[in-house]
Amino acid sequence: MPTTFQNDITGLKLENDMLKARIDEVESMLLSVCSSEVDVNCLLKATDKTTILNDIAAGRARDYTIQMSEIRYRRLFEAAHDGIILIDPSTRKIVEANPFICKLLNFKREYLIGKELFEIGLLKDEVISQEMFEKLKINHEIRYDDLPLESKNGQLKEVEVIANLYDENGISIIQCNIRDITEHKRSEDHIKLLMAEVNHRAKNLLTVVQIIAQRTARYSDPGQFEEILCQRIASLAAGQDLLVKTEWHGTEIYDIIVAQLTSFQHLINVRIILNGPVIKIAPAPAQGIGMALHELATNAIKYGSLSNDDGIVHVTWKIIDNIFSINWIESNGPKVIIPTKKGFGQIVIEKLAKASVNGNVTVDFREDGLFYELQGPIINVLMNGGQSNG
Amino acid sequence: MEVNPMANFNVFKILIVEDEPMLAYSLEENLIESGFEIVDIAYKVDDALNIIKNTVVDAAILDVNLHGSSAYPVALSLTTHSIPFIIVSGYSSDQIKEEFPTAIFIQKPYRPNIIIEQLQNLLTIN
Repeated sequence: MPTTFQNDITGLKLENDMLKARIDEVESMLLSVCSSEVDVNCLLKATDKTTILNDIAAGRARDYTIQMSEIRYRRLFEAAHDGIILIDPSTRKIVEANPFICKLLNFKREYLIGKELFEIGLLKDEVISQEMFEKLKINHEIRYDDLPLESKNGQLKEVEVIANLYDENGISIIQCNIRDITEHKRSEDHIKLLMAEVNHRAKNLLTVVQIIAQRTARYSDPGQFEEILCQRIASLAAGQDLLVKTEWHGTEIYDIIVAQLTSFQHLINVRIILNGPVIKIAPAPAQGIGMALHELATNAIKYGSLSNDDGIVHVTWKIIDNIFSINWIESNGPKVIIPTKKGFGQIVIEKLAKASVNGNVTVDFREDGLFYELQGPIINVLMNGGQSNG
Repeated sequence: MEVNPMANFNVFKILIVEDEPMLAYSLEENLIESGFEIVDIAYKVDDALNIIKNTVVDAAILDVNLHGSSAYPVALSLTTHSIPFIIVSGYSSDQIKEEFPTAIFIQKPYRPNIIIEQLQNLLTIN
């Protein structure tokens, strides 16, 4: 027994035995017609308590049951986040519409009542409309997963419609539940697009890996094939990580450099000096620049200024007159020997890096170390061609 | 060893339309080794259209997606100029495949020899 309910009854101060007996009767009656404490309290608050008790006692419990039921189901109808329309199957006209469908269609309830479905932007196709009513007669239920709906202001929506044919005390009525799936569809389409894009990128990357493997096999010493290939794939993976992390919205040049120098972390700012402004690089040049830096670093540790104890590399980048440039300048290394045959690494730092920025490359084996410069117009190199950042 | 198409024919001039430098480079190298001549490498739709308009091209290899743009205009221009072409793509299906159902379509990643073989077939027929 709910305490508030007891209090309410106590509050009535009905003292004589006869009344107490009646209250007991009323209590159990009230509890039998109301399914929860909330409903009992609701009812007791809403109306004069004595009247309720008297009315119930007078055998009018059924009216309250109906009233409760009406309140409850009206609340469901009005608060529903699905559009609900009731249609008279004989006239095919709307007899009732809930607030949600009014909002969805941008029509007042009064406008909707008496209209047919095609007049409110739903089931504009006459064939589909007729088919719905025919099928409903036979199956008593029909479902459309995806129907176009045009609201009053011309906005196109996509809806899921479930229609049922019911019998209401001998009168047929159609109930249509209309769910707005526009957002859901949009996100579904977006996922499909992303999946196609991921598939495209994955296959491109696999093709790149395939070519790297072929060329590594062709250009390098068989004994070093495995190590060199693994390093090159790791370098690609590091670049890929950055692209994903920045969601293809541009990668900081500093991060691209550091990602390619993971094996040389202890040398950064000691023997590898980085210097340049904050610049966001677009995905395609980011891959080309990253691969070139990997080859430059690998070359430096094998033959260049990172192969002895005091060599230094200066990595600097800048933008001048809408031209982006990045320099890798080695000094204090061992005596420079100009390579006699072209390896794949050289193809990467020259041809491929150049193509990735649609620019120019300078490779100069100077006496004090390798001088490398990659230049490209910012329109090709920077994210959004440098329009929203610099 | 790849078959050298030069044994019986003149040097065929090939246009590569591909936005991924690594792929373009490898195609170029493979085709040159097989005796073809590379007219040019186009990384963008506009570049490809200019080359087709101004240069003699015997056949083209065309990636369907160039920096996020469809290479459809390039396919159309090649068809107008009666230049046979091979489509390569990482996409499973696309507009070009639908619009040019008779074009040769090769999925990425591909064996380099496939391109060479298909190119030779294409040029022999034409």
